[in-house]
Amino acid sequence: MQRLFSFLAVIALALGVTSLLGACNGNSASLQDTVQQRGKLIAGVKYDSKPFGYLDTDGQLKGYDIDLMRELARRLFGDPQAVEFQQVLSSTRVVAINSGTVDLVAATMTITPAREQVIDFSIPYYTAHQAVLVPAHSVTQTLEDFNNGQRVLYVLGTTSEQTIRARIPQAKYIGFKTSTDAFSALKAGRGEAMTTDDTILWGFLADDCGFRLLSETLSDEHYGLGFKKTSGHNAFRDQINQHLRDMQADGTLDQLKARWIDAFKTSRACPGTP
Amino acid sequence: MTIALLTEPGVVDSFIQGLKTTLYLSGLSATLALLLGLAVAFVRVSECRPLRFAVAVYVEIFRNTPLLIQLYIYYRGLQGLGVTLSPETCGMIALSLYTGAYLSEVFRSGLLAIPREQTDAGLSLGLNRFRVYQMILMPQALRIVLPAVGNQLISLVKNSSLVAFITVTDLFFVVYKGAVDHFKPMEYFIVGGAMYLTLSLLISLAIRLLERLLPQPPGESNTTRPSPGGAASYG
Repeated sequence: MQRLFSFLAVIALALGVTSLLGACNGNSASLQDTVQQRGKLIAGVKYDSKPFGYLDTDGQLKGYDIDLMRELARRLFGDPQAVEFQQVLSSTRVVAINSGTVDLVAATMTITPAREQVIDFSIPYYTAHQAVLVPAHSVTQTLEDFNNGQRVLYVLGTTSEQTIRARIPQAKYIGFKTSTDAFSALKAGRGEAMTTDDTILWGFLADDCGFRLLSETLSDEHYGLGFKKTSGHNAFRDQINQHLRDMQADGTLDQLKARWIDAFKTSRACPGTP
Repeated sequence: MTIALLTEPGVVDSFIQGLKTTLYLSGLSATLALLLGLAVAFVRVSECRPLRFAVAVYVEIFRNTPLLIQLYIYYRGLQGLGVTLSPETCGMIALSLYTGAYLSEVFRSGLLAIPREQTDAGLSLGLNRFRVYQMILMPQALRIVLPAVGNQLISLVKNSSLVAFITVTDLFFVVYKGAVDHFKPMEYFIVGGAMYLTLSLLISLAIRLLERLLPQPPGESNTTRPSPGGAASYG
């Protein structure tokens, strides 16, 4: 019995050491080589942020960020399908990057100085604006109309919270893990307003005429792709940046915007659309 | 690195706010759960068969389904039926009903641990059933189940962290938010864990004190007394 036990212990130890070594190898190699050898990208994207990354009713992952990743895969490997998607949330995307489970994150992430301390960003590929969503029948017209105790719903891990807190400190703030959770709470009357980037709010507006945006926006949000902050990733990041510049120059980014954003804005068939 | 976290502006304040919510919610739920547990235990050792069956159903349902599902039923499920309760109320109801189910079993085990002869003796002395419970059974039963009650109260405080999932800004919510906002998961979770640990240790300390203060049940010594459910590994 004892012999069996020590035998098992040796095996467990050996497995542990080899997996550790494996992990070390993965980290020290350049990500660019790893990705080329693998033959596909692993991208962290959102599943809850229409029209950037969302699961459609047919179960397919769609959106601006999804198409952007497919376009990158096409430019890197000649195959738009050479990309594996993993779900991230606003609250988990930085961890996903730093734990190395994904090569990069395309998840409506604003480039901020605080985030730049822990991860690397690509050049900006899209500029959104923080906006506020209220029920269509709400009397609220401007941010100044918010009085004490009115509940504003936000998504944990976003820049929106700090920005709006500074603007209307008198409101009560309630945090959610996903924007879908926040929106369903707003629908259920668990808040008077919800704030996040206008792009994501358009996604909700497209499906629901019961809400409108306040005309005022709070900030410019420059979206960047996120990378792990390590020297092994620099060449990969530079390569992606070059592709992004190409896409800007040849109009690919404009096409993506027209397809996902402008189409969403005009597809809304509600009376009195803002 | 963990200590440095506490010197950052606003961090301590947010922890205190979260701690207050956790204490308030746990305290209120503990009180309700203790009362509920007692009431249910009395019914379960009573003579009334239909009532006994009804509370047994309650106990089995509530302690055999995940607390998180119960929380979501009050928070999201009831909303579909047109009842919107505040997240704090949902948390309090869920924690009370869940812990109450466990506590009722603890109290029941305490009552059953006392020899039936004592009840008979009390009744034959002319005491009514209420008096028998009040003067003979309860003082002994409470002393017997004290360690097990302590276990349940500790579980309650730790379980209360689940209310963060329905947007209550308790200690866990503050910890999670801090970890996400400041990209320091390890630091925040360690500090958060230490705070829950402190709360739990305070509860077990209080229970130990109570054990010393309350008289030992007469007759049997500590080592030979059958230990009621959950208390075996304790004290």
